[in-house]
Amino acid sequence: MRKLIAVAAMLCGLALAGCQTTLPSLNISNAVAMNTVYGIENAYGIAINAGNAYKALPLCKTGTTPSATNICARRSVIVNLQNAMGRARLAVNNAVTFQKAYPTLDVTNVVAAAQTALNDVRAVLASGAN
Amino acid sequence: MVTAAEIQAGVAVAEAIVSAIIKAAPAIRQGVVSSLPYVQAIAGLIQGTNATQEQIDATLAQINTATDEFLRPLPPDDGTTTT
Repeated sequence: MRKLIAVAAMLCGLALAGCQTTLPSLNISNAVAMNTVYGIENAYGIAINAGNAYKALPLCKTGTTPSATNICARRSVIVNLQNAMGRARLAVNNAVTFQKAYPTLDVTNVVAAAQTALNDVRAVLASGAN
Repeated sequence: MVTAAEIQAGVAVAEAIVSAIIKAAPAIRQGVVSSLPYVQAIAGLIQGTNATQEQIDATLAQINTATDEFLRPLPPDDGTTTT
C-alpha cells in the first residue's frame, strides 16, 4: 500500500513537473512581447523628442531654407510631422493595449503597424533637414 | 549579438556628435538629452534586460504627454513663416 501511495505521489509529482515546464514557456512568450512593445515605445520616444526639438526651433522665414547658418524649422514640415506622429502614437498605443489585453498572443502585427508609422515619421523628419 | 563594449563605443561616438550639435542649436540639445532614457532602455533590451509592465505603462504615459505637447498647433502664420 505504501509503495502504491509512493508511486501515485511520484506520478502526481511528475504531472506537476510537466505543468511547470509549460508555465515558463508562457512567461518567455510574455517577455518577448513585452520587450518588443517596450522597444517600439522607446523608439517612438526618441522620435517624439526629435519632433519636439525640431518644433522648438524658430520657424523659417518665408522664402528661406534651413542651413548651417540658418537653423530653423519649416512650418510645412511640422504640420506633416504632426499628422505622421498622430498616426504613430495611435499605432504604439494600440500595440501596448493589445499586449496588455492578450499577453500570450503574438504582437507581430501590431508592432509592424507601429514600425510602419514610425518609418513615416522618420521620413518626414528627414525631409526637414533638406 | 551586440556587446557591452560596442554599445559603450557607440555611446561615445554619439556623445561627440551631440557635443557638436549642442554648439549649433541649443533647442536640439533639449531633445537629445531628453531622449537619453529611451536610448538607455533600448541598450538595456539589447543587453538582455527584460521589460516590466510597469516600465511599459510609465513609458506610454511619458510619450503620450510628449506627443500632446508636439501636437499643440503652431501659432497662426502671419505670412512671414509660410514655407
